[in-house]
Amino acid sequence: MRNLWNFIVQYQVILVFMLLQGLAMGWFVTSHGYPRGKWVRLALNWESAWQGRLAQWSHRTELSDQNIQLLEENARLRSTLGQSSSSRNRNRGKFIAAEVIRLTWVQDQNYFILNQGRDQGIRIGQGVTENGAAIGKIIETTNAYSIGIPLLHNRLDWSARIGQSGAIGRLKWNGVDATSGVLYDIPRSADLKPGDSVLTTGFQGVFPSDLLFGTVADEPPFFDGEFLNVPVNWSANFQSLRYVQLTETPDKALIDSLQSTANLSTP
Amino acid sequence: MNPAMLIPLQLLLTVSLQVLFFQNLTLWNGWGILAFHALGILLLPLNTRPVVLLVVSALVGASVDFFAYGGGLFTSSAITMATFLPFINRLLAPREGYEVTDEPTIKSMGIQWFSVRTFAALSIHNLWLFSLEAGRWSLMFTGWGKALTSSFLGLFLFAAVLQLVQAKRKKR
Repeated sequence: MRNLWNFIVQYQVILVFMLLQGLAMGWFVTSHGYPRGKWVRLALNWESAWQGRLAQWSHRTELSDQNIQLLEENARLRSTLGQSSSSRNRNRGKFIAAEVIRLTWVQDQNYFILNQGRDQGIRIGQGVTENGAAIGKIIETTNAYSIGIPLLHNRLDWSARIGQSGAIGRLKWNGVDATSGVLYDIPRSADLKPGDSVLTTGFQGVFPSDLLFGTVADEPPFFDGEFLNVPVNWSANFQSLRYVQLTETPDKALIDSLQSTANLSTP
Repeated sequence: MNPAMLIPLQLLLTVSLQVLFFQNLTLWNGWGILAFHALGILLLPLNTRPVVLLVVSALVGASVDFFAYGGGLFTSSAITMATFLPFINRLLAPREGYEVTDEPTIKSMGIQWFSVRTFAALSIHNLWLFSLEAGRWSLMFTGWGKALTSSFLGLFLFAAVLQLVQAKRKKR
């Protein structure tokens, strides 16, 4: 027992370092990039409340009321588009208005916080758009706030299509330039030219189909075996995001349950 | 003010400023990121026991992580810096050792001692932080570059803050 005590006393610095660094690395590994857990939610609540209060004060001198009214009207109009009887627009979904109160764009795994939460109908997995352009999705919510991941996140793939009936690939941010990403796995035979729209497919259940991610950049695509990797310029300017809309895919629960049935019935 | 009160106060102040202001300040397109809370750790007395230094640094880092969603990033970096700080102090010690009255400030130890110590400590902090954040080798060199430019920026900021504070004290 005495030997153990002597050992602890002699190597106390190393032991304390290993203990604290272990705890910190554990925290880092379990939470980095994807804020999870009670503490992060609690911090999100406090920090968001503080940021919300700051935003409230600064907005008193601005025309924020009019902006919010316009945003809500915009969201309502987009929802009305979604209720159109034409089959093309049937899956466009509903839109909820929100304001970005916190945003990063210089990290590899960025995030944004919105001033709307569960109480306003926001749910984990909802897509976020700005002026009709897809910009990210919600990953965590509290009653009054929500946190989301933008396209500027180097670990997420987004299902995207060139034009309304073009080739489909994986859209991903390369972690370097906040204004562009890369569309991977496009067949060499695909017909594309700079300026072509890159749209959501709706396959991931995050966004309705045919929302704009961006446009094909005016740079040559680079070859990757049988496929092309196509540079894409984002439609949204992530450094000036403020008012956004949240999309809701209609009948998502029904579609998800159908998807699980397909998995079960695979021979 | 009682020095025993001054230490928690300066830790609280530097953490608060980091959380409320400096964490939102990103210069030169991500090449200038400030870790102002590190100043609180660097200003701890030179005779602080290494174990106490580690624990205090972990608490400071965790406070910043809690409010900045760092997920342990700042905690881990602060602990790493605190591990090396006693070695840096020993390397830079005068031949006859530190006096009891010596403080880790420009006024007490001079600008050269302060600059070398602060840059070395901040470089360790930032290299660890940016390496962890980069997470892959392809981004590592950019991360290290950002760590060094951010360390220079931090050094200038800390020196300016201390000069201002000391100038005020002198006036009194």
